[in-house]
Amino acid sequence: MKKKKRKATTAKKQNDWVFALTEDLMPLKYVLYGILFFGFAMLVFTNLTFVEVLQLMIAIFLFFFLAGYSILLNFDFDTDERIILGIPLSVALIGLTVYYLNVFFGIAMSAYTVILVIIFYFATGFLIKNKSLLKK
Amino acid sequence: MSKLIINKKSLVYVVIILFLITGFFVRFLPFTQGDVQSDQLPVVVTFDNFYHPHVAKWFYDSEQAKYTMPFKVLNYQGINLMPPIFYVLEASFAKVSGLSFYQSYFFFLCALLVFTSLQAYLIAKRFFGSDVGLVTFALTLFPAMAYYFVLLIGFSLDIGGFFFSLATIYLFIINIKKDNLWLSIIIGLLLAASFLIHVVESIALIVSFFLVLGVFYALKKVSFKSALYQQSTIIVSFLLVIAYVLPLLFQGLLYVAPTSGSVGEKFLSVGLKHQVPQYYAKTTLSGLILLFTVIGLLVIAFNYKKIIKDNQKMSILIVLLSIVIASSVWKIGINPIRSYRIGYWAYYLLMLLPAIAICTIAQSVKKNVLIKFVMIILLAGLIILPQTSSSYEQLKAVDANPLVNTNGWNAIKFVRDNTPVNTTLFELYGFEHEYGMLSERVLLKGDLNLGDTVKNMEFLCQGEFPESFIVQLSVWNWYKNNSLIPTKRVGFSSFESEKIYLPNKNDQISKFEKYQNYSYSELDYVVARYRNTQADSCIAFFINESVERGANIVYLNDEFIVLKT
Repeated sequence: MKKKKRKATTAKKQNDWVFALTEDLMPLKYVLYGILFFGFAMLVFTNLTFVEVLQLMIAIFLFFFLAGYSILLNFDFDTDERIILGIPLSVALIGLTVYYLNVFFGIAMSAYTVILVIIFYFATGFLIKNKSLLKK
Repeated sequence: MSKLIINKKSLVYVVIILFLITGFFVRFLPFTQGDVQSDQLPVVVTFDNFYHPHVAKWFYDSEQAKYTMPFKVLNYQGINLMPPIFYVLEASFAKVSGLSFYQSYFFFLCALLVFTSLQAYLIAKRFFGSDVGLVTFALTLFPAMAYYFVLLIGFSLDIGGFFFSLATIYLFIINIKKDNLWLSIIIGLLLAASFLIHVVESIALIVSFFLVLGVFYALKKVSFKSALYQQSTIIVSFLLVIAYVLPLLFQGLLYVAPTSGSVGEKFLSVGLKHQVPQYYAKTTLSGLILLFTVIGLLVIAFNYKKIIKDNQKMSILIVLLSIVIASSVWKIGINPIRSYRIGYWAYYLLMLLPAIAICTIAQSVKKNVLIKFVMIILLAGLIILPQTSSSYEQLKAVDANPLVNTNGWNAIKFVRDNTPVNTTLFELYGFEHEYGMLSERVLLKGDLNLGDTVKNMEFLCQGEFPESFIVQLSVWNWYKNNSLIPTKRVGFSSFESEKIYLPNKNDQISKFEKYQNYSYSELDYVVARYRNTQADSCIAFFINESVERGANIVYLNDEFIVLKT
């Protein structure tokens, strides 16, 4: 009985997180449509392969949108503002963090570092926005 | 009703996406022709096209940003004293994009430019309405040829500076009312990113922010305490972020030296068939866009009472005015910190005026939504279509006259990929524009502006093989206190400067005096263009004599040769 209850609680918690994530990221669907269309145009107009275009599309989403958008979830902006202002904020956060990590701690400016920095800012923005879920 | 709103919103998103993608390809395709897999710089027009990518590539290859490339000076490593963030961004994006570095570099530049237009859209939309926003967006995305200049000439740092500036302006203006501490910190952060890319834009912004708050305080729209609190929070967070780099930048500034100047106009004198564009395309408005800008000004003048009451509109107009003034003083002979370059940036805000004019005319002619919509498209199309069509052709023409063709690049690439890293490479002829720095080797060349190349060639053309050649370290010169200073166009505006730490400084310095004669035997490799110049026979003499002296031809294509001495 207890096990069942615990399972139900865990499932509810997971659902809450998934719901919060979906709700927060849903406005980025317009960005995804844009990137998909851009990817299609890159396939038509350039000599990149499908896999290369796919990697480029993921890179654009991660590098230009995810971190800044996530941080701006904590401010009173509408969707347009959050997406557009998130672009320079993402780029600034990535550039400054990667640079200072390298200069102060000698961490290499590799693809892994860049991706970890993006994930860090995404998680920070998302967790601050949904800190109430942490308390449950 | 709600369905209609959703449809309109979706339609706006579709238009924005289409504009963004078209704007990107208008910049990207003329120079790449869709060949994104090549390991070659897409734009090769002047010095800056080579300089910034080669710094960023060093960061990319070495995965660090503290030290400059050892091949710059006799394989000694120096501490980077340049604003680092743009190069870090280029290196970081290239790491995740999967493109070859040089393609990724250009891709990133084009992306920054179109995203800057997107920020102009946001400013115009928020303060003047959705129609003005879309027209401003279109006008900034598809400008006249002069405003593509930053891209084709390789003003990469300027482009980086522009990218952060508009968002900073927007956040600053809305935060006057919100007075949010965290937003002030973000503004400081964006200003710092801009500063650590290209100093001038962030300084201009800080000045204009003081101006806005000053005017607001004078008109009793904000209290002194609030104005001081906001500005000081921004400045403190800005200073905290740049604190580590600032001393390095000033260290570089101390060693600022005049450079050997523009190389472009000298090319033809030695028979290279390059068409180098005028170095600075001055930022002026003409034709229809000027007319609509004036009309936009008149619209604002007639509505000044309303605008004074609207804090946000007033703020953006003060910022616009201050930036336009800063970028226009060169017209009356004052040119501090190369102010005409700010003009490329001012354009993004200046396009608010013609957009306001177009939307006001469309609004006043007919109140019907459909007719208004058609009028806006017609008027904006009248400006955009001819200038985009003309610009696109001109961009293709620039690409058709590169400083370096595929043969030249293949020769340099051969050296980069097939010679030891501590190789000393002498560029006898054909790379006077510094493209050779992409060989990533210690690079010696005659300074074209000082006539070195001509002197070297004169000997060869007279059938004499000189025992020593007049060479200088590429992009380096001698200045104060016997320090070795790069001759990249260093200046206050950008703090673009590096100082090299040399362990055996005196030994090295004595070796590289200005107008150094460098003996043939000290050179490891020589690269030269031997065909399609006016000095083909002279180069042929050099090649024959070198081979007789034991040199090996290690690379040869239709135009370029690489010799191992």
